[in-house]
Amino acid sequence: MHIPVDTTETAAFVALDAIRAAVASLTGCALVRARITYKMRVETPAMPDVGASIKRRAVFFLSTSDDGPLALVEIPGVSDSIFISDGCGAGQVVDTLNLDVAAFVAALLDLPATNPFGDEATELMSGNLQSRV
Amino acid sequence: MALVNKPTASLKISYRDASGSNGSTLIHVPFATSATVALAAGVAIADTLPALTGCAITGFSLTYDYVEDAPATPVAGSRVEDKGVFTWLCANGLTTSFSIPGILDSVLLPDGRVDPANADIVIMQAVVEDVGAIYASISGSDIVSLSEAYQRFSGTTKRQAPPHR
Repeated sequence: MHIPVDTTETAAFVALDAIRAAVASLTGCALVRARITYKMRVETPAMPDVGASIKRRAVFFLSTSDDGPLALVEIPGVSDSIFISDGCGAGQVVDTLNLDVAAFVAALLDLPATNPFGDEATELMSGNLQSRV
Repeated sequence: MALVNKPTASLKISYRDASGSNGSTLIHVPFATSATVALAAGVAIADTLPALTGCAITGFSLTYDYVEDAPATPVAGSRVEDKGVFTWLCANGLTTSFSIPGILDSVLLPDGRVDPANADIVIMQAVVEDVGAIYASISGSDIVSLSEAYQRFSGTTKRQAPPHR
């Protein structure tokens, strides 16, 4: 079912709960979960760089506020420019001092991003290259 | 029985690479974060990504997940493939539809149509149509009336089937 995209999540949940109650008497199935999703599309996406592959990913490990599980964020098709360029880990370890990395992490912390348990991310600990097939 | 939220909502940023394959970044946010704030933050994060990835960003979504804390026991013999399909007229003159899996025989007429006079159908219709209700078509046009409703059986998909089946 669709709702206008400018509907607040609170109003959307009220409508969701109302239809949940109304549908319960029409079906022999049991409701197990529901979700409200807002979607946005880029009107004219840029062209991917030649050779860019989603299998080549950077994984960022962020500490959380209560010493609980870390928050992990992956970026597919990652550029070479964000990795350290010499020494141990060259081309594999994310350069945490890189300005573009810092801008991304700042945007995450401003949100604030959390791990799946709701523990807020507090700072970038490390990041490295991973390949997925 | 009630819907309870997960600890976080999720912001999913979508990418396309040079081969046309699609990937994503999943970021969790506190569930109490408003959609307005989270979507604005999504834009801010997406703006930082072209400097980090060679993939093109194609969009993003924000999802609030709820689970039923005490799901009812399904009625014996109920099947999700046995659906009630409801088609609605919208304010822009076009139609939209949704289906209810496991539709009960008690709300159907002998010819397979949904009984529009059934009290439970009338209640559901009121929830969808009433002034102040927010249900709309995919283009955002308000649903104004029920056009037609009938029983339809669909094939079982792999996602619908129980594990190992």
